Amino acid sequence: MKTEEKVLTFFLLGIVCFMMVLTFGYRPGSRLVPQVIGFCTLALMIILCMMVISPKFASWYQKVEGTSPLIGMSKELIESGKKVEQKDMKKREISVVGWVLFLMAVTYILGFLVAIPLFLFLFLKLWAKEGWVLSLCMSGTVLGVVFFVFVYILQLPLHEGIVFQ
Amino acid sequence: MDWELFIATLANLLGWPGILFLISGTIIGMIFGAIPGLSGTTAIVVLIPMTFGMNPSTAMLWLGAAYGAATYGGAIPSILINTPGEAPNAATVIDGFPMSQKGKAGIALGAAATASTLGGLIGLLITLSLIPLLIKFLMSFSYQEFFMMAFLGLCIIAVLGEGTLIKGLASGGLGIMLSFIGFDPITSELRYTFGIEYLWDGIPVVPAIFGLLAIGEVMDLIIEGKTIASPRATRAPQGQVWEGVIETFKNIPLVLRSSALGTFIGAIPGVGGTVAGFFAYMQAKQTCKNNETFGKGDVRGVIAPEAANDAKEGGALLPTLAFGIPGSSAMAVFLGALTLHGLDVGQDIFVTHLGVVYMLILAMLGCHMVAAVIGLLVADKVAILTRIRPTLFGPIIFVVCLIGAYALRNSMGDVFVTVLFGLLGYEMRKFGFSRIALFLGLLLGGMAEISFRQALMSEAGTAGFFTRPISLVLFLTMLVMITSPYIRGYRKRRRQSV
Repeated sequence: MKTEEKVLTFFLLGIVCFMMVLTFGYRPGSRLVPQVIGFCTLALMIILCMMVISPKFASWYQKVEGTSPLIGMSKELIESGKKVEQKDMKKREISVVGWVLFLMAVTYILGFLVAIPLFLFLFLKLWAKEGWVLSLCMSGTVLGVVFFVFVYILQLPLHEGIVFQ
Repeated sequence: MDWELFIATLANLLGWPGILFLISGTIIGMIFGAIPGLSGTTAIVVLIPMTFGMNPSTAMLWLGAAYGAATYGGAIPSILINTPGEAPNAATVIDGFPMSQKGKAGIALGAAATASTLGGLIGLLITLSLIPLLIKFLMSFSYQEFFMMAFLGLCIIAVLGEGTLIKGLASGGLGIMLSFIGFDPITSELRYTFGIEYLWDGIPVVPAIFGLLAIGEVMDLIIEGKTIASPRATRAPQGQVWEGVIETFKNIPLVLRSSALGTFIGAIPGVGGTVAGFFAYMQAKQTCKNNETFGKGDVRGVIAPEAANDAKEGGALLPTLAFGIPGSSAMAVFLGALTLHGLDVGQDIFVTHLGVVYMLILAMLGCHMVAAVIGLLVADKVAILTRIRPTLFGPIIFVVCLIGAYALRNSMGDVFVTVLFGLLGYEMRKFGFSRIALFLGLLLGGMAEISFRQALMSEAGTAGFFTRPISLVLFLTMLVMITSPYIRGYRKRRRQSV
């Protein structure tokens, strides 16, 4: 878990560093505020990275701030960690991220009206282990509601997917 | 005040078909507000085409009712599913959702309905009575004040994220950095776009908040595999809802303070309801006794932001109608609707079409009462939602968020932004980074930059930030907020050493 937090913190630090470097290529007027804000954010990010790397520094900072930021895990995660095995959680996490990316990809390729029932049915059947009837009914109902509200009433031209365009 | 016209307008509102438009507008607004991702702004956008054949007064009645009711509607998912129906309801989540987890969803919903109604009423009454004074005060706001206001909003968010001040500030800073993507507002130079045309207008704020708050949250719920309500939370009986109403009346001074604050912030163009909600929450936390329960499911943490959220609508009407400066995104849409119906803001609307102004204010007053009645009647039924398995509603929320993001500009780019921010929001939540600070940075970054650079170009220059009284007060408040956790830490260490 600690590694994951390190990755996130350094990733955010990387974004700020990258943006700071790019500012030097802009005109003075355009780079003034990004540099001022970027410098402050960079300083904060470096402190956060130091806290992630060094537990000694983290505990010193906790004393200075007078509160106890739970470096590494949020309170809720610690509480939920008691109930859900960390290993199992990791698997669930990866699979849910995969499902979200799947929805985005299928929507882009096949369009909303195909992606919605397909995603809902597969998710409910394969991931949530719901019955056939519930999975089919929910997929159909949501598709019906989406069609009625967005296509029929709002007349919104939903994305048709690159395959059908 | 033209009392004759006021009474005639009231009679129109309560007559037929005025009352029908009031009730239908309120119901539509509540539904739009209650669905995460949709908002009062969306409700107005959807209703505008249907007002083409109406007279301006009826059109304003319908739109005003829908918009006014949406904020209360937005409190429902904030309390029940930890997802603000509208961005201004974000502060309600802090205590509303923990109450739901404790099985007190009914109390929170009852309190939210009552506080919203009272806040809305107080806000509009304050607006009516303070119109001349507020306009004079607003005219004294300059670039320096707008800049300070944006940063003060961010500091509040960072301080509210208890225990993670540094993470809150870093998230806010990152949000501001991301807001610089796109055209430089003054020199028109492209920044951080990497040749991608989609990024020229910057990162769209609404898809970003869909991702950060809704997708990230639902992902977490599905991964944990828990229902929103803890096992103790069965359902919220009607008695619990009335308990919420009573709690609100017990905290009338808090309602009054929050409503006054909300009205004031609402009147500042561009600052918006999110800041109003957090400001109200912050003042409640600082001024109420036994404040250690805030953030853990304290009803006062629901009352304060809800009262302020609805009160701000009254304040937001002022700059919109008087100067054509929209106080919020919804007010910008309202401006479009007024133009569509041949009404010019400023002197024209206040002199020639004063009846329309009265109708708008009365509709927003009336919708709060209708919304409260509906809210109190159905709140306990709605609370059952908390028992639904997240694996059932989670994928539906994913789908609605993606369609909602797409519907804004018919752009698949917005869908990608929603998903990317969803993944980022999930990771940020997991490790205690403030997602709301990131969002606020993204929202206010543009305004802060423009204000800062315009301030530099103004006669007062940099010194103006510290020589202008309001700017100085805002700066000092910000300073106190940032340093207070460290001072607390120092005092704590000193006590321990003693």
